[in-house]
Amino acid sequence: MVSILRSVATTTAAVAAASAIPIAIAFSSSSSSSTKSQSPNLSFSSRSSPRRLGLSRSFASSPMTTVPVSDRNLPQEDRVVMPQLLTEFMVDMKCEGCVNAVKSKLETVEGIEKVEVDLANQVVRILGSSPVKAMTQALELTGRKARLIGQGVPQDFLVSAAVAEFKGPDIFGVVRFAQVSMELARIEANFTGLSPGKHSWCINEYGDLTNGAASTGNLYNPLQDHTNTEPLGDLGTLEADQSGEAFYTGKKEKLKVADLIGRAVVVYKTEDKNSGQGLTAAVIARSAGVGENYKKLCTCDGTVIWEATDSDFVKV
Amino acid sequence: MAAPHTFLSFSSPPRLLLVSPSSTLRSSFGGVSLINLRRPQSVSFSASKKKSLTVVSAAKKAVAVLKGNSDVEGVVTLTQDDSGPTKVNVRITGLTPGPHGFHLHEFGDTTNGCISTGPHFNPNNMTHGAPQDEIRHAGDLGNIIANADGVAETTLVDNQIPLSGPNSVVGRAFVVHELKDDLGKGGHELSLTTGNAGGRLACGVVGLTPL
Repeated sequence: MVSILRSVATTTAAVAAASAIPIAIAFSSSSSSSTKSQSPNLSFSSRSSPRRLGLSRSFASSPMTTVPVSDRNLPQEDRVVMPQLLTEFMVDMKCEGCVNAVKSKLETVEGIEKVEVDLANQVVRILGSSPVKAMTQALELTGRKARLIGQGVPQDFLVSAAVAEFKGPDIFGVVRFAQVSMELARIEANFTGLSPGKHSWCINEYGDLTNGAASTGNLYNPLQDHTNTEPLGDLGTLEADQSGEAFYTGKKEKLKVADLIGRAVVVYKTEDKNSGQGLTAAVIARSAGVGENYKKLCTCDGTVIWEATDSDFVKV
Repeated sequence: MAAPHTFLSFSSPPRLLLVSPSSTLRSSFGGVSLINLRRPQSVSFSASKKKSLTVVSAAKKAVAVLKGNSDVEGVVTLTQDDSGPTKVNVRITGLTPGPHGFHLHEFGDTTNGCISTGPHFNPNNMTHGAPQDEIRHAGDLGNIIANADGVAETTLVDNQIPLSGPNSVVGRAFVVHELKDDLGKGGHELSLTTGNAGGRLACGVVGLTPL
């Protein structure tokens, strides 16, 4: 187990090392700056401009390995070692004590390799293979509010993170995609409101929700490789428990997050994709990569990050 | 292997030929870079699926379905011919009569509301302005005006919101606001960032759609 983890870690350790050159980022003192929010100067970040230069480095894919995961927060079926990735949270920390509390709590989460905290900017960066769910739970167990603000491998991809949000009325869910290397993407999903049991789910070619799942077209299958039995867009099966909740983490070879933007994730009623139209669908949206969104305050209406939610709309 | 940003299509090995139905958002190719570039729309699509995929066309199309948690909802349809301006058809209902700020944000991620959508889409690092201003965010689409029935129906034509290339708007979010966008001229401290347009009423992610 240890040796497997180590071989998985090698890939991302190289990434961290390569991008560990701190570059002083010019802090904008004006809060009226409408462009990027201030960029905390963390050593994981070597971004000096908001637009990426598109440095092209290829990293070997992590080996496909299957070993048991003993994290008690995760369901039994989660037995795949996930590739490592940087995940960035904003955490409501106000003192050095908070930093220590956050760090020591995160140390208890399996799969976390490295934690870096920038107290001044309230940013926590985690390098590891743990799911977002486990990291968020650990952070919240310290009694502090935490919000995911970026995910990916800095500098390597113009689009490193994407998210599809299912907004009800019955089924709610968040599916996150993150590019790990040129040939590998990580997928994590959390759903509520499903009927207990198995549901197939997939990526369809269009993110057109004008008729719900019915207008999302066919299964996304760009490789057109008939020797490959599983189309790229096939995400397999979600398993909802008795309360209708489903949690999934997985990785997929050849999946490129940039190519998924604007398409849709569709969840089906049963295990059988051909059983009819999808139950529900959500557009795959661009999400912030690491270092891309340090926004703390919505200047439109004054909402601060800790109060913001997916449904904080103004009522008419 | 080919260099990054190659204008490739048929020369690459078949398994790397990533064909996206509406010609948008193709990565330049597997193995080197995932940066999207605008390139000639000359890929012939697979003829195995829908009829629309067999057409070699320079037109691009996208759609966003806007929802909030009130009665405000709508559909925004975007079309672009070649590299010309993008036509934006807007129909939003359930609004209070009058003008409402209408913006495109950098990210389509609304998991943490307005915060996770990032700033107004602003690839050229400008300050907030009106759609016709030279100095504006690309995502500044001004105001849409709801009639007495609360329906805003309009067609905008804009040069800064392409449907392909690095500044493609696909995957970003439209937001319709509570208040009027002062277009950067209100003198309020927020005028130059957001137009002081207030809270969000509804939003929607721009998705790909068949032609």
